[in-house]
Amino acid sequence: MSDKKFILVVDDDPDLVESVAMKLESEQYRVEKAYDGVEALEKIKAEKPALLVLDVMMPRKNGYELCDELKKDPQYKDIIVVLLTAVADSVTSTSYTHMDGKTTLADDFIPKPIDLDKLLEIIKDNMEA
Amino acid sequence: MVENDKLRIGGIKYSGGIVQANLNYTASETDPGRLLFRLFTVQKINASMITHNTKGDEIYLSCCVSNNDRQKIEYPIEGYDTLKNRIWFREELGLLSIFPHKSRIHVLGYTLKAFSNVEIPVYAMATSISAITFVTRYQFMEKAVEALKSYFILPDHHTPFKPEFHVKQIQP
Amino acid sequence: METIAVYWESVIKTYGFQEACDLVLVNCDIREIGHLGEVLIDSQIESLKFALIQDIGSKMIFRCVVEQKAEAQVLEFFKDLEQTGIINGVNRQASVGLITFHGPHFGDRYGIAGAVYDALDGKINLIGAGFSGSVITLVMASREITDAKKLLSEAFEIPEYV
Repeated sequence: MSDKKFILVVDDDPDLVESVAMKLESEQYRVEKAYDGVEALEKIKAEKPALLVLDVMMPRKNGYELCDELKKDPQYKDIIVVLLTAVADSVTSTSYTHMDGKTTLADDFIPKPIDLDKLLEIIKDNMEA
Repeated sequence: MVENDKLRIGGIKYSGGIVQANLNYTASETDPGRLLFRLFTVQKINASMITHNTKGDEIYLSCCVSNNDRQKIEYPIEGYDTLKNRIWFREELGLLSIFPHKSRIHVLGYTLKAFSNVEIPVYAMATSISAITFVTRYQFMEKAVEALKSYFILPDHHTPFKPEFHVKQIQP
Repeated sequence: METIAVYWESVIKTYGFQEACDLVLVNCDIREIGHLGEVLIDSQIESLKFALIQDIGSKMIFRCVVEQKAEAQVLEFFKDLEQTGIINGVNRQASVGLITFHGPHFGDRYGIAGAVYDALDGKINLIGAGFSGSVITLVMASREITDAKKLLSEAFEIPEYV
């Protein structure tokens, strides 16, 4: 197994996933990608990452739901979760589940868009803490 | 193609029904393209994919918009001499994206070959950081995905092909 | 399909601009797109920075932007292909640059393209452009990159590194 720290990047925007992944790989992290919460959970079960960069609004399972599941599971609660939140208001008349940031157990929150160097710094800080 | 030789990709996505609005003009004109995009902004029309090519003095613009937005373009352009009778439409289209390409030109090659094998037309294509996006006939979306599986492997729990929701822009 | 969230920002925010200069643009017209796919599979072309296809009715344009180090290989590939009749009209343009930028939900929002074209205001000779997914890629002469970036920075916000 590689000595490089393993990070999973999860977002339904493939271009953002690729940008973040390329940045992290250039800093010698080992990176896997997922494009929604269900796929992310399966990848986590296959190999537990040290840190998760996690979008909120995604199909099938959103970031808040996934974070909640992980933080309540003894096997995964130590995964560092960095949530990426877009500035959008929820639509109340929808079957889609909304939770808000106050109820989530994420380790850090970053509003989109973010400078990728800043994201890298936040990830390093969280990894070292 | 045997499974082991297939290329691994992260996902495939396709859109809802769209129309493609096409506009050709010369560089010496006072930018009909810019006027068209201002019209889009005023009418609150999202162009989900745009390709622009300049060859010599000729400019070729194609813009994909939702089927529902076609009338919001057609009626207003009647009021502009630089746009009236110049925009031509292709209808019943959709966008299909495959990602990540990782700058591998053979991902483009396999996709074009897959489409050609089952006679799926390509009206436009553009690469982005991660994805290659094609404009093709909406009725062929599922057929296109099946054709792509001849050359590409998706993850076991890959994200759905069709969008489940969208985010809409409003003005307060 | 449901709308699950609504979005508004008075200034369009991006993840920042990326630029690349001294690239090479190769153009041709496609005559047989399926056969083009086959030969691209076998090509050893690397360093693809951007590609576009556009069916303009009378013909199908293909353009790709590659790094300078790949120029000779790419040109030889396309010239050989021209002999087969799969493509025609191969030409190249050197000293080409790209500006690429993206932002949250660019693919879902109106006004983005209008902001780009208004910002450039006819002052930049745009050779090509692709607005795809959440990404905007602009192709121009390398010498125009600095001016274009300055114009775009006035219309789009780059996140602060605090």
